[in-house]
Amino acid sequence: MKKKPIKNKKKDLRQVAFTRFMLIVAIFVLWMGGIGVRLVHLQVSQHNWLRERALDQRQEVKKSRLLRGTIYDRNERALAMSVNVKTLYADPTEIEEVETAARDIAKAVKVDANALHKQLKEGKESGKRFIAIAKKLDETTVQKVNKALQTANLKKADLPGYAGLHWKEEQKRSYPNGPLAANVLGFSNADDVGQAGIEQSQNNILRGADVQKVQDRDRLGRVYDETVSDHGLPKDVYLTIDNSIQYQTELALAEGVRNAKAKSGMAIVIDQRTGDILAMANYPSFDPENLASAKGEAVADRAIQTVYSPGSVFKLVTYSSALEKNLITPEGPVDAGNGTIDVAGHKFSDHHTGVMSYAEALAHSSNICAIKTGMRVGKPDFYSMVQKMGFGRKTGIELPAETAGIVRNPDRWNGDSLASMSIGYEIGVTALQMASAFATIANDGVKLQPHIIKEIRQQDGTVISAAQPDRTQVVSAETARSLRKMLRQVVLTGTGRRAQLDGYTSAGKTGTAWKFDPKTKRVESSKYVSSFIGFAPYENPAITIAVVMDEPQVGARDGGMVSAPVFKQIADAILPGLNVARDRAVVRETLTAENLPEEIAGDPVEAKKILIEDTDTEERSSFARTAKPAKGEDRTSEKNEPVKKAEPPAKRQEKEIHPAAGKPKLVIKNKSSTEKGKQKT
Amino acid sequence: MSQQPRRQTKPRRSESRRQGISWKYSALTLVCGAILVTGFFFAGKLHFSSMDYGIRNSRLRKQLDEMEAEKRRLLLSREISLSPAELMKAARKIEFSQSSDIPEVARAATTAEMVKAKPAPSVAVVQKTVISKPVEPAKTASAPKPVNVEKQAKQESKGSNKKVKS
Repeated sequence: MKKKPIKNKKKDLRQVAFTRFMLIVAIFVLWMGGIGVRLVHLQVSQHNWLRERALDQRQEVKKSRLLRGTIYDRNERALAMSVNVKTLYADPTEIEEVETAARDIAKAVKVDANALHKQLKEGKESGKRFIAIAKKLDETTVQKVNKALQTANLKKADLPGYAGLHWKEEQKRSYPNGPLAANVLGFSNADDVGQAGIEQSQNNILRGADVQKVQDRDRLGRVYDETVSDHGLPKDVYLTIDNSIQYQTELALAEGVRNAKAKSGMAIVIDQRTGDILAMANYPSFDPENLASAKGEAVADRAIQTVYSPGSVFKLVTYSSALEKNLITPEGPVDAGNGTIDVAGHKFSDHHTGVMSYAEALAHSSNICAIKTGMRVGKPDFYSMVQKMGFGRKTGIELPAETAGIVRNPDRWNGDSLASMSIGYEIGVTALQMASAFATIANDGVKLQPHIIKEIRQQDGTVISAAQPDRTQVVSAETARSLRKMLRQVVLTGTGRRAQLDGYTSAGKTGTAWKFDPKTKRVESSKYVSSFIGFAPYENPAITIAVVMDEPQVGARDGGMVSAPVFKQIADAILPGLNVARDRAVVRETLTAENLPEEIAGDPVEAKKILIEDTDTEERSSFARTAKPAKGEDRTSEKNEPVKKAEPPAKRQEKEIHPAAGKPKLVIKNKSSTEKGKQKT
Repeated sequence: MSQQPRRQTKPRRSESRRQGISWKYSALTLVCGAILVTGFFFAGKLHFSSMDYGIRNSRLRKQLDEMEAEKRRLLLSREISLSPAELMKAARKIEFSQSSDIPEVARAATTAEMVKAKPAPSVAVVQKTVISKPVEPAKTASAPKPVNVEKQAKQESKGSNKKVKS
């Protein structure tokens, strides 16, 4: 009787325990089920919304651009490079007290508080999230601003520690050498796109890739994970320019242009053995870091973009073609006759008369002799040589907006076109084309394509591409040697005596041409383009230098007067730096009592004045008398132009100093001038 | 009689077994729970340490970027300082001018000589004096001897070498 209740009680307890257990399980299952349902609901139906919200809270996407590639010179000196800068901006929606904020910010970055307050207020009202306050600040300024804007007890991961203020990383293009080689380098705009020069032509190589950074941040805004999108690093461009040579060239050119009061000037230095352009200078130029002050004309690279009539320097082509055809020899005689020649009804005149050698004819820049030589060569061969020398087509230099020049097809030539072209008219060239032609002669007749980019490298130094200029034998080595000999005579006894160097031999040719005015479609006898192109040393040339002056105003204004001294200054400055051995003991005639004219001996001021007035009178007068209108572009203008034009001031000056004019003899009595006087009289 | 003790012993064994099993289950559950908790603890610790490392890594990366930017700024400053124009300014500031190690000798030379002049690198270079120095009346009147000029030039060049000025 006693055992039964015990059994029943045990049975009941088990039942109760089981029931309770099941109840708990049921509750647990229901709870889990509820959670599961909720989870399914959240993760399936509200997936996108939640994901976006989570990412928005945690992740921040930052877009930036890699720093633009650097432009180096041939000695790996940076000519243009980019640096990081920061722009301070405000997010007005994050600022509670706009007035206080405006006051604090204005104090820190030194801007007008009222204007800033107005900006922030308007921004807050319109919901703007970006208001630039201070643009492109350097690191030192950034640190100062951060210090000034530090707010205590503000939980903000990024600097500046001020609510609503942020830094935006940007880049700034810097040109460490200022205006040096500015026309070659060009510049890039605020969007990092090249606008001129190398910056424009090599924009795809230099431009940094757009980078997207995805940053995961914790609740305090600290970045704990970062993913950067794949990108290729920008490349660096290495130029053939030597910044030291470029500087010397620009210095000499600027001085030359100022002295001659010329409108502008350009100078090119080429290593003709490699085709490397060591310097390409323009004056006036501009400062790429201060573009606001740059004038439109100053930005253009005139050495490759400006077309001009070369004048007598083009006689190089005339004599090249004649020598190549074995029609002449430097010592061979040529008769200038009475100093006039009639070609197809056009009368060319010159003050050089009688028989002389071809070398003398080139040295004294006789137009009649050059015309006769050109006529002997004939149209097809002359045109062929013009083309071979690279005129009428782009040189292929890696710079934008290069012009091909103007060379008409022989079919469109007039009766006197060959004669005109023989003395450098009826043709349009660029300074680089002309320099390249002289470089060809200096390099034994082998033409190397002029280039300005030496290499393109990865940022780790790996060379991607290197310059491999085309080589063309334009004239034979013998022809080139003969021409060099003739060009040497120009510097020794001819129109280019001011190009004699200190310690080095040199050779070259002067050129003075009337400018063609496209507005009036006529040549202007008062406006010249004066040039000197030459190389040094004479025997084994190391460099070719071209100097072109546009509209010189002072003195005789011819190439020998205004451009040859610049050539000398450049060559004297850079040849020792290139470790070129000196090959000359005597530099120039030194003015002493024995060669000073009696009437001015003892007066140093007068002596100096005469030195300035001396030389190149022949060339100047030859242009005054014979130079034909630059009619390459328009034949109508040529027809309207009288054969004998009004004498330019240069000729008047020549009359004053020339012995034949009956005036007191004012030229220095060196041998050349004495001979010259005899010849003329 | 013999069956009863069997009946009595069976429940005792099963009870003791049940007690043993219960204890073992409890211990196993505890171990599993402990492992689970430890796992969660380690996972949590790893998660937070990963976050911490991530933050440190990010700071270091930022520092690296800043150092790179600073390096670039310094490079730019160096390039500015080494630009020819700046060097020229600095040289002028300390009154340093170019000096030539070649003795300056002036002598008269005619054009005919120049035409005949052949390359002679070893010969001392003669520099022109006309443009840079106006001819003094006294010298021109008395027809200066080349020897005197040469001596004077040598003295000048010696002096310039000593003072590192030209």
